[in-house]
Amino acid sequence: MDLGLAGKTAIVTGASRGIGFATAQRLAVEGAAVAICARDPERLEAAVQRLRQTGAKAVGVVADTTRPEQREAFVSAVVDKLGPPHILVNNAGTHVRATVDDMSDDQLRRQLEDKVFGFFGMIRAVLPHMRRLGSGRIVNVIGQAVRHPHPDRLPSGITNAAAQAMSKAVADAVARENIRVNTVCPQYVETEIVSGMIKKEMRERGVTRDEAASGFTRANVLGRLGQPDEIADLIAWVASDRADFVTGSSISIDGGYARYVFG
Amino acid sequence: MDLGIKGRVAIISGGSRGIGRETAREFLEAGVKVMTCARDGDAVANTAKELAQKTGGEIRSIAADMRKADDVQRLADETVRAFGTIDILVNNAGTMYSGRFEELTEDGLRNQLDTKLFGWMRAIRAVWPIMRDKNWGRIVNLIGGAGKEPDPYMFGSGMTNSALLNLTKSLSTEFAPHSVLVNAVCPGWVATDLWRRNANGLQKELGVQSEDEARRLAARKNALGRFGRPEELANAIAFLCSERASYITGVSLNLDGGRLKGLW
Repeated sequence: MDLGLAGKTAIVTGASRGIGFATAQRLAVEGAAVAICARDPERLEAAVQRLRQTGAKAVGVVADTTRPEQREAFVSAVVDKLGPPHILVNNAGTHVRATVDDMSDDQLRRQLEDKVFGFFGMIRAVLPHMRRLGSGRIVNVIGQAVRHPHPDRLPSGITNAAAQAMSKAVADAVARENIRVNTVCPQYVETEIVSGMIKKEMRERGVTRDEAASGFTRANVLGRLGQPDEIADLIAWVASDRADFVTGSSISIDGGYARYVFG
Repeated sequence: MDLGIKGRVAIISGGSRGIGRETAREFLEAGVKVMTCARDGDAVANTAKELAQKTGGEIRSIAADMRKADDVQRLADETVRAFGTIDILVNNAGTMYSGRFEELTEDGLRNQLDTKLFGWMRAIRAVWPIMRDKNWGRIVNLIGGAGKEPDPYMFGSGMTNSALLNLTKSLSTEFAPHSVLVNAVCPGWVATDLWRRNANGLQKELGVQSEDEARRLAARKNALGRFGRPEELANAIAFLCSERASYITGVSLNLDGGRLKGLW
């Protein structure tokens, strides 16, 4: 399937590893020029080198997307080096766990800064360029706590619900300008964060990898962890010419974890 | 993007025109062998012939009515006879049952349920043992958005489609241990013959004088402000049936230009 991404410029935030890196790599393989950002300069540089091995143009900018001036500088650098962005994948940000009893206001603020203010700020930074191009695709990566809140993941649940509402409202606002906004909602993906947790369990409990992972894999109906590449393939498809009538949609990619009829 | 389904075998019900036809084309271009069916055997055979010439792919067709259990079983049997197995099922046959409460008849609703709810379930029953035994399968159901956001004018379709969404989610759970993925694609208005057949009714419902005016108002209901194209639905169906969608099951993807305003 030709995704029609050749010659397009794509921004992926938080792309030095995990889902972000896999997405940048898929977009690069499909012929897009990719710009990525991350906070850690060494990891970022290593990721950019790997992206260039695909033969694609790739640039990396050290940026923290919670900082307005760094977002603006990142997008300006992209426009200078690769031209105006056709695609934005908002992926930066981590997953903060806390309960009603121990969550600090700062934990919640930090998560909101990442995924509501950070995502929204990136959207506002790219919008003028997409408007000039007369087209744009924005994909927000929002963890499945958006559909299924957990008492021990309060900051994520609250933040993801807000990010989802923001995405839908923005999708409606810019649709007539041919700018599409969608969300992709992964759960239980084998990123370095999850692998680290599994290895720790294996060490501490002296159990096999499958046993250590079962806390994750039991929860979804496919009974396994997803791979970053699987999430990347969906994001690339949503951002492609092949999804031109998809906007304001939220797509679960969770091995069947969410249990509800709708969505 | 390599969909990784070259050589797979797909059944597409309702394959003579519109979304079914474009899905067949998309599959053939990806190297999938296709069996299509429709009630009008000549129409679906003509489409199959045309698509075979256009793509060079392998496609067969038979006349089948989803309301008839024997027809549905024959659809599966003929597919196995022609291509040796079944990997993919796209449930697309059937039409819309539009009209408000006062126009709905029990027979009309029974017919809709028999074609889509029972008919599609018949098709799933026919292919499931094969997919289960090979531990690989993809089922995609085409379920209009009225199943999520009821519209008084789509009363009969809305009830049927809600049931189909439940079926999709239930079976995604049931079949997951065998890596048989079950998903739905939920279209809004798409520029097909189905739209044209419903244009008169919608014209009255919207109180406008012309089909063009009805089309304009219907398109304005979605955020993009236009009708979908059959190939846009086909692209999504092909993606969900591909190796690239291996971690996606139980979803109902809104493919409606942003028509539904709820968050999911």
